[in-house]
Amino acid sequence: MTKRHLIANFPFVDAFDAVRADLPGAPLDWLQAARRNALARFQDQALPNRRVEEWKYTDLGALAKTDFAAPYGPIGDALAARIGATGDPDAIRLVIANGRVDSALSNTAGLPTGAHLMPMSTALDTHSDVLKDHITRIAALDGNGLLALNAAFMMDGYVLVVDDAAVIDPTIEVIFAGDGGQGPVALHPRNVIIMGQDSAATIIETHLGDGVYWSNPLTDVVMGEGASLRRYKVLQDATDAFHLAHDQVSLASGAHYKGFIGAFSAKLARHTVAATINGADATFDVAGTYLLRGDQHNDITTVVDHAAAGSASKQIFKGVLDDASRGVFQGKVTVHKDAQKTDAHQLNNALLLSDKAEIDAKPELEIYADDVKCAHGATAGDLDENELFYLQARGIDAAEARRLLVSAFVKAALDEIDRDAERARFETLVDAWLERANG
Amino acid sequence: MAPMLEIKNLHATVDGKEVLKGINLAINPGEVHAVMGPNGSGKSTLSYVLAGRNGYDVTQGSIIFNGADLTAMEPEIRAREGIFLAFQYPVEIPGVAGTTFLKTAYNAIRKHRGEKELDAMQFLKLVRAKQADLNMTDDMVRRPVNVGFSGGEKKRYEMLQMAMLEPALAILDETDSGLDIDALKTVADGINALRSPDRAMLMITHYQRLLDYVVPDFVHVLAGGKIVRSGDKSLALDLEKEGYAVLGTEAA
Repeated sequence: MTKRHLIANFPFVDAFDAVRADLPGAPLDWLQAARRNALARFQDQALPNRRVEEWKYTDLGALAKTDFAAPYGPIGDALAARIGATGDPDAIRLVIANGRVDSALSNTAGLPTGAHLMPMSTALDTHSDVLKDHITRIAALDGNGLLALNAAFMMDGYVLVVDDAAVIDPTIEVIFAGDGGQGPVALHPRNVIIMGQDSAATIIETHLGDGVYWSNPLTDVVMGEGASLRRYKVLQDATDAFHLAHDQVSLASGAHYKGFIGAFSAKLARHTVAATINGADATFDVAGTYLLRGDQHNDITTVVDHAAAGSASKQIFKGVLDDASRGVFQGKVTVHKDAQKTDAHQLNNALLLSDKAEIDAKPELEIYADDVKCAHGATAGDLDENELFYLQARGIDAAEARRLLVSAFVKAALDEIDRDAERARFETLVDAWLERANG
Repeated sequence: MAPMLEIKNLHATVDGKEVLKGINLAINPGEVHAVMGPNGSGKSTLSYVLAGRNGYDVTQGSIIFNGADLTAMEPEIRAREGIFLAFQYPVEIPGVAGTTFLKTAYNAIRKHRGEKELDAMQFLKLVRAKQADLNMTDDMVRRPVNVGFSGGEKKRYEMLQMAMLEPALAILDETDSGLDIDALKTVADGINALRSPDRAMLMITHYQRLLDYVVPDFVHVLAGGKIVRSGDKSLALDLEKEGYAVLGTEAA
């Protein structure tokens, strides 16, 4: 037997008994038991190493070697200022800083009737009956040590509950900040989104921070019949940060999930998006772009389970890799025996701007039904010389020509965002990334 | 007065293979020169060498443009100095809006000439005025560069770019290829409209028919990487009658 895990001795894990009284839901016996069980599971499973098939391309070695402590104290002033300047200051917003809600920076006053938004700590005080099933189900997810760690150390994230038939138009803004300014810290936010029947909402999450921190968010999304959710993630983590996110989405009949991931930073990031489609006519779409430079590593892993007939899923990712950066795209689609008429589509295009950049793309289709449409594609290449020359031959300098072409390449992913304000926000971030490339 | 463009003993290779083998050509402002020749004679290579395409390397000789060594300039600098290549196969660029492309190019050239850059409104007004002459619509000008254009539309779009960028020397590479007679007339009108005492043109063509509509001052025959014959427009008519085969002995 080969060892399938990494040895890690994180100070925050040793401090479990000291910190658990400060974590959300401390008075709840069932939760304390769930935390203890999860900790035992982590001690058993540890972190996956590269011998584990799903982790072949993403090495957690550097993470395992960092002495992450439990988060302490408030975040720095500079970081607080950046949070203030993120997105629309008048938007409904919830700020989670170093694993705790920051009430001073949050503003949920304008929330329309039918939507309930609160930090996990509040939700566990007032709605533990609603959350118990969700939390115990996630705690029992047979995954890896990362999920177990989140279950053991679960901190503030956001809980959004949208009532049946409530259509929430304004975008809900959630900002996660990590501050490792006083030494590396580990954050385990837990989010729960419960979309009632025929409800609709739009969320934009921004992740940012300073110094060395490890964000390990776990998001549980349950979509009722006919529910519609747009969920956008802006990843602007610190250059030395680790970000390992897991989304677990379940969809009932006619539900529609539309996700977008814009990854612009972090030293090492993995975004796992797992969905189970349990009802007919449900659609699960997730698109995104990753723009990497230096020695950044970004991994997008999607796991889509078509368990009901007549459902559709789509993934469209555009990656831009410069310097010695590395991108990973793993897309797994399983179509169960009864999931006839499934329409699954997957595409990952990577633009390699440097000889040292690398992309590993692994599509994986498991199809047990016989009447399905499943397509996948992956490409990797450099900018087109003909296009570059055409632009230069019109007087456009080489750097500007490259910027135009990279921006055009990424646009195909951004076009999947069907809200103008949010698409514009991602466009601005892409432009800023490109400006730095030529700076 | 020195010519606008002076090519002397130009040798050039494409992917290491010598294609141009000693070209001599001088072009003065106001002149229209046609370069004709059989396939593989080096016509398109000449246009790419002048525009500065990667992989087209000058190994011997010189190209002097308005007193400066053209071969030392990046393609974008050549364009800003006044060289315009109308492509035989204009490139489709999905995702780059035509207006963004043309405005970026236009302002880059204005800036280089020390002129004020135009804002979006001024620019649109100018494009509208020029696009009408070439039967182009707002939609055609706005859509991603060359995407969804027919062969004729691509050539008209090249002419629109030329009209906007106002080059000193326009190199038209097989601009007539793939055009029906109506499109050919539209494109020829576009070229004729830009003839001026300050501007020179180098038309590269396989067939004589474009020259019925854009009458050249000089005609050169390129064969085997060299100019083997030069004359006035009657040379083009002779070639049309006799074919390039008559050059066989000279084109070694």
